[in-house]
Amino acid sequence: MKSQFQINENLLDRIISVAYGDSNFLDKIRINLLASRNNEVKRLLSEYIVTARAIRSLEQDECPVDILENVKNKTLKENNLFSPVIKFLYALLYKPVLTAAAVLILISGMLLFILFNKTNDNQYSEAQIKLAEKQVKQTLVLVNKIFYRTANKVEYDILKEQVAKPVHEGISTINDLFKGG
Amino acid sequence: MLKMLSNLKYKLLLKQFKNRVYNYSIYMLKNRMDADDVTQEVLIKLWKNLDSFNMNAASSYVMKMTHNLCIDYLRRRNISLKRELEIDNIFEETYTNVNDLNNPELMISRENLNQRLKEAIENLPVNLKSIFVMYQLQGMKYKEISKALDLPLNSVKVYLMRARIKLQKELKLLKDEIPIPN
Repeated sequence: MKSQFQINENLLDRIISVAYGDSNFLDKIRINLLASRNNEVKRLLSEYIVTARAIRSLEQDECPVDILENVKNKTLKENNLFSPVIKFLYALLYKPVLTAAAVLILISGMLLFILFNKTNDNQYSEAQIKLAEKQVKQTLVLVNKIFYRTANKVEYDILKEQVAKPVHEGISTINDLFKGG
Repeated sequence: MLKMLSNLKYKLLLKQFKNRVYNYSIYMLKNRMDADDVTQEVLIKLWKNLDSFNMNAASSYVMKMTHNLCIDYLRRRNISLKRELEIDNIFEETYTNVNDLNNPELMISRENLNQRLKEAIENLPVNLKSIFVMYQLQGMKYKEISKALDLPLNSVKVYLMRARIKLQKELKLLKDEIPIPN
């Protein structure tokens, strides 16, 4: 049966796509399964994989400097493209270390500005301070009450009724079962 | 300020496209001097059309310009597509790896493979080669290629597949001559 197996155009396209790595996941699985069962598919797939790998390893050639110099002479110099400001902006965009340094300097500057310019302009009267203290105390009492009630609720209602009681019942049932056994 | 921004824009474009334009031209024209001329022309044209330039479609625009110029060059200089290839040495230096210098056998086979690949790519018909180079070597997307070459998306996919098959056939002819390094 295997010798009658024919690779049609559609299957070949899929094999090639898998080899070049631009097929979908399902095709990858299908073709790999097929390759494991059929030698012709396996051979084709491995051949294309080798070529795809070799193509990926081809590197781009660098554009010669003299071309860039010519272009620069014809366009850039008259427009002052390589002015210090442009050079700096360009470096900021394309050199991560410089960008990081610039950001660091900016953040440090902002922090220093905030720290050294922080002045305490707020002046409060004696009465205002006393009122604030009183309000803080009241707030703390309220919070304390809430905590106390919550603790009671957890200890007596939740733990005792909702947790301890069912556990106790469960243990009793197990005991009864053991006794019965 | 505007002038400064457009200068910056141009410099970014140069950085991004100079090598792509150059490499594409080499593959299309099979001749380094012509590729130099096309690259220079494209880069100057880019500068001249900078104001009407859409950065979002930069890749398609630049490659379209490059492709059209290459076709012009091919026509103007009457380069026959079937002529014997001139094997220039520009790629040899690129693929030299210091670690492989001690292994002459591997170096020779790699050089041969690269040379073989380069020749096989250059030998593809222009319509297949342009798509193959843009997709496989320059990492362009189907949509970008479709825009650059004014071709329907499906044609791009079909031509790419044909190029891969043709390339494989070309390489297969030389398969037994030199072992392919992993």
